[in-house]
Amino acid sequence: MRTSSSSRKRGADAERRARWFYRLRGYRILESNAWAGGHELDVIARRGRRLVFCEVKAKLGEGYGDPAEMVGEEKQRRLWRAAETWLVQHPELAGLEVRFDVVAVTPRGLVRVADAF
Amino acid sequence: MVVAGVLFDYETLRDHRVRPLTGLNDSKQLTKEEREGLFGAVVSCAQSFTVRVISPAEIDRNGLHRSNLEGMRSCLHSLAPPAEACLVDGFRLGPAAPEHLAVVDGDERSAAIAAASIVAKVVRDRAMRRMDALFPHYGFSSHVGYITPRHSAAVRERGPSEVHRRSFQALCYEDLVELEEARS
Repeated sequence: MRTSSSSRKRGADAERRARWFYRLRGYRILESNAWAGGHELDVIARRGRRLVFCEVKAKLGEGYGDPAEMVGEEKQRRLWRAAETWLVQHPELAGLEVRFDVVAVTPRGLVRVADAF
Repeated sequence: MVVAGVLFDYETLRDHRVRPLTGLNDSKQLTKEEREGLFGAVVSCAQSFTVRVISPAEIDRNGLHRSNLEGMRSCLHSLAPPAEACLVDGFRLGPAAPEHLAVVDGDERSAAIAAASIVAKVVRDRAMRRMDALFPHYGFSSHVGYITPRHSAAVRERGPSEVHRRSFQALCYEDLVELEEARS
């Protein structure tokens, strides 16, 4: 599969905005674009005892749905597997409370669904 | 949310009794009907099994992940007789749970975890079908809990039912204030 450079740039911009979204809310970004278990985790952030794995979606135009709609059953399974693998690689973080968020960056702004799945 | 645990006695799982379980191999490719069939096989082979159904209100209070871990802990505690070895799909459950091993990708690597995942999915599908009968407008029996455009449209139009979790911050919930105003 080929990804055009403009859509890659759009994805990178969306991830940068998502990182700032979390930073401004007191989270520390532990890693971004982390590969684990054969899948990518876009943003991993921590605040206190809470660890957030965030899937970032960049959307052009108005025809987008709910961010939560963009992460279906198979994608959820992959993100779970990636997060589990990442946590095995970071045993010091194993006891933290884990949350999965979905962030959609659209022309109208950033929408976050916290604890999405 | 539905969480399940299955206890197998490997001493008694021999020959013909174990044959129905061979279909567990690739559980994620199974159709609903095949899962129903395997559910019967798992239930008849297992020494015991346990299911926990976690309500939307509890998820609203504790969050999804904590509710999930608590559900798995409670499943392990309630298996009788207590298991000699416990395998858990994915995350470690902490010291409050019986001794266990977290297996990443558990439903592909352990028959017991795959069996528990079949039980949980079948119970979830049945519960969603029942919910569909009670709240027919949301398409519960077709999306079984995963967000789809049709489901969002239904929530936008009618607001969430009493079985939707209120802590969910999807866009379709944002119009609720307007909806309440339009109704009153």
